[in-house]
Amino acid sequence: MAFAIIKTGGRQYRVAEGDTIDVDLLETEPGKQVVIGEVLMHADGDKLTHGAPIDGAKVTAEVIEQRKDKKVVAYKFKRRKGYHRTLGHRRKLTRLKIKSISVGAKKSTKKETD
Amino acid sequence: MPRATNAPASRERRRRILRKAKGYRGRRSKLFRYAKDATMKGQYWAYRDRKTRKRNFRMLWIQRLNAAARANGITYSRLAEGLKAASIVLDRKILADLAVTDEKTFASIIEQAKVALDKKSKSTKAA
Repeated sequence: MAFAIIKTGGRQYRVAEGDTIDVDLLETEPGKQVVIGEVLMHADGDKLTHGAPIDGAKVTAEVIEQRKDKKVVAYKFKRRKGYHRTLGHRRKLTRLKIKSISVGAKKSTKKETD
Repeated sequence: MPRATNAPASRERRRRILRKAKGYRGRRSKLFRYAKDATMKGQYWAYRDRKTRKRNFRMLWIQRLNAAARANGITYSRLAEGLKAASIVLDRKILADLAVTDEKTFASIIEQAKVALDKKSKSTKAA
């Protein structure tokens, strides 16, 4: 099974074609395509490609929706100080469906050494 | 002067707490006096533990990585050094996941880290 490790929003995700993932909010609209250029690794069976990131490799994904995560409540409390605060927060996410993974220029299976 | 009552508001306030305490054990879900404390602590700990969860998972991944690395004849500490030398920037979450679900890929990553480590130690000795 071919998969790629991509990085977006400071997090790394392991994705294969057809996967649906939630990533940190990206500035796009539903129905549009996004291209993630930061592909850190690509594996296709025995073939491994590494890079930081791999030159020319990209993952294309379709934006399904801009959504919000479940609400989390931040409750702060300091004892004996009469202090408490309640804050709600919903993380903004972009739901992506991975369309294609391309490694770009062909490279040897081993990491290039100089 | 008419008597001022605040009963509806007080009842609603207590009901709000009891609603949050649904599913708690025993009187902590039924009696306001205990539910108040329970929900307060629940939310307080949830807020704190969302942060500690990040540390806990990192620790877990490192333990898994260490176990998997030792199975491949290298310690975690050396592996981390080797990965840096090989400029493999995969994070610990990904590496630990690979170690569990895709041993072959993980083994080849370790191999690269070992090669980079060898090269590094040779170059420092020469210098």
